[in-house]
Amino acid sequence: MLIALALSILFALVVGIAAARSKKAEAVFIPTLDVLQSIPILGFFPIVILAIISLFPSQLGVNIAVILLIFTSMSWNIAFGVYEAVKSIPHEYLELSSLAKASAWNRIKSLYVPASLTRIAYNTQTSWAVGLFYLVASEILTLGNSTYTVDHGIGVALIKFALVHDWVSYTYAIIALIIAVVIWRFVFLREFALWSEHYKFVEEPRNVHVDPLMRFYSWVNQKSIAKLFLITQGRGVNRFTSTLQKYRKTAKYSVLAGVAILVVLFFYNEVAIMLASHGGVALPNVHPSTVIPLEISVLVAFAYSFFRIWYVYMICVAVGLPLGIVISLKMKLYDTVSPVLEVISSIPAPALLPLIVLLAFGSGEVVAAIVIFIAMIWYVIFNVMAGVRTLPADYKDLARIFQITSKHAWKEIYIPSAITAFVTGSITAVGAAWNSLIVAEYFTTGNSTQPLTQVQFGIGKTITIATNQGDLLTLSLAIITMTVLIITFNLTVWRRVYHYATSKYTYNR
Amino acid sequence: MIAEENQAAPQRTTENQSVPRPILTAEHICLNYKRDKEFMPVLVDVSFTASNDQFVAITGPSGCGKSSLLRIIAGLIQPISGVCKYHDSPIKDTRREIAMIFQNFVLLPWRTAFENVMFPMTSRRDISESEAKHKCMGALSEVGLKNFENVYPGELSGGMKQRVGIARALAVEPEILLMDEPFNSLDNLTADHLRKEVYSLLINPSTSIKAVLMVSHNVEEIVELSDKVIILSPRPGRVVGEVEIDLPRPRDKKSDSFSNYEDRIYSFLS
Repeated sequence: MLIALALSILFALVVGIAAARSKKAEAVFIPTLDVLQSIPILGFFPIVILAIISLFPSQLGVNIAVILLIFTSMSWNIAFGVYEAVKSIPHEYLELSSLAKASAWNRIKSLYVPASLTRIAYNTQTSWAVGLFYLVASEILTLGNSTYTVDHGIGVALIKFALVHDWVSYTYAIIALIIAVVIWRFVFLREFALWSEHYKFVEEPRNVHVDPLMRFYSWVNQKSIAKLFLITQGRGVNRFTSTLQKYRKTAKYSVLAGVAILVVLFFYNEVAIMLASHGGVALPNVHPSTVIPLEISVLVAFAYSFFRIWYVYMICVAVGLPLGIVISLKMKLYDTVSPVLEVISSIPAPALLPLIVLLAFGSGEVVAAIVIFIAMIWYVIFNVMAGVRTLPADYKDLARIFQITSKHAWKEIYIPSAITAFVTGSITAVGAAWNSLIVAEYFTTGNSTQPLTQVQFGIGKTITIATNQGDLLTLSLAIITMTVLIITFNLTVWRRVYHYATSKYTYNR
Repeated sequence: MIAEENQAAPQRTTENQSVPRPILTAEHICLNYKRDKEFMPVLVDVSFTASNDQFVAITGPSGCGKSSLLRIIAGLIQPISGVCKYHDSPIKDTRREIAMIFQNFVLLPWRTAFENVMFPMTSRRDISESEAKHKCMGALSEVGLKNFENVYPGELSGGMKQRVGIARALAVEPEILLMDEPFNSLDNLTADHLRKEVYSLLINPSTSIKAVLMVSHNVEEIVELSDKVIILSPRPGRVVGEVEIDLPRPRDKKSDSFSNYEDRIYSFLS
């Protein structure tokens, strides 16, 4: 995990700084990162594992694969943070360093890196949770006719205990995981975040409750999602973007997406050939008669997953939106509840999978719903909480002074104040949901042929089974279809919703 | 200690009629602020009164607690000891008769100017919708925003936003209007302009307003607008001075008597 984090930060610094300082680099890197961030990790999770393991068929290979995956889950976020931070450096500081004829290294050392530290710290917190999810999920991989497991890892331990119904050890392992995560989060990450607060340019207006976690969620998510829609200058959604500009951006995106797909196809081809010669994986039979029916089944699976994610999302909204608002409105409630929520949200869903299966009486659909819910709810709740927390206290006073009824206050003040944050949270949450499918819809442990849980139809299931069976054709089709559809959805629906929310519901100070 | 000063102008006849009962009184207000388990006093033994048609200013250096005092009067927070009374009844919570205008306008960005002014009315049962609309349009008119009903706050300038805030307060027909550094977020020109209108807007026979309390740290604006000035000491805030300003309106900022008043207030502040 730490290696992946270090790599991510390094990568992020390089890419972020380059993108912020050079127009050309910016034009290339940022859209690329956007696209990469939209591709669910689910998309290249199996293929990367396949590729790496065939290159390094041993414990080393598996470890490298895991690290790489966690890296990919973390780095885009941090890179965007660096980009945003460096771009926001007040220009006076840049002028200062030019006047002082500071060398590039000097500038990096004393200006860019410190400027990025807060963002890196905050982004590390989310990315960490995501990384943990994949860590646990990826510790046991089934591939073709071989099983690769990491020798030492919490995921392995948990599954082993669950399989032999050793619930006592299982509980111990979960508690150990919780303690480790809590210590890590509260001691290290918090300290890191607080320490990086020193490196801020702007004096914070006297705020009674400077809560790094909340600002992290509201700041970081909002800014990095803003990047998702390529906002000029990284300053926020401009209400008056001309239509011409909009089309130009969509055109740029489609070209990039097209290029990405071609690259992916090429990559798959190479990997297929490589695998065919190294390990017992069959070359895909690319023939219309085989491709079309497969594609149809992929689309069906995708449709099921799509609807699954959306009904769970509705539940998340019904639970998360009111809960988030209520908790943030009352100081006392917030102070007691939010640390608890932080702890619970740190537990990665795969760790709880055996428990969930037990609770759901083995119904695959319910298990999937629960796992997806767990993956989504924290993003929704924390973002809503952050949104409401940034509501200036004056608004609560306003409601009281003018004797606004509770119902009206909610409708006119509290819910609208949460909307932008809620949209941001939703975008991230749905992204996380897609990624969770690989665990939610079908999960097997190395030892048994019967899966621990499965749904009837779902893209996560399709992908996992295809990976297990080394069925490259289905795998490629599934990944490409899913990636294309998700990116399209992001660009069309989410972009509109986000634009609408920010233009109507943000505060103009 | 309250130091009372009265301008002894040669030609002024001393009035012997009985002083009307004050509309608003603050009696020995004390407030503490809790920080990390320690109690810091913010206000100590603050007392003053506001009477009919009085424009009272509360001033003092930063951090002296003047905004907190205003919020106690509004009923938003309760003092540790002492009491505020509105017409002899203690203020324990916010009430219809006391409205407020905020330094940062506090408008709903997702609502038009008209909807913002209507906002307090929508919660009320005792007024018909058409009557409420009538009052709100009237208020907008009075503040000079007659054709701006459907404009969103994002499209309004600072001065206009504050006017919407004023209209919102006027529409509910309060008796007491509290203003928390209302001109602070405006640029000088806009603030000047608005100040000239504010007095006649607020204290005139056709409005329901009987008293205005304004918190400000701008001495010039205080002398321009107020009838009485309460001056607080640096934290913890105590009343160190009370000045009654007896100048005819409109007030000439360049006159000697104006400067004299400014000097007197400054002398309390230093």
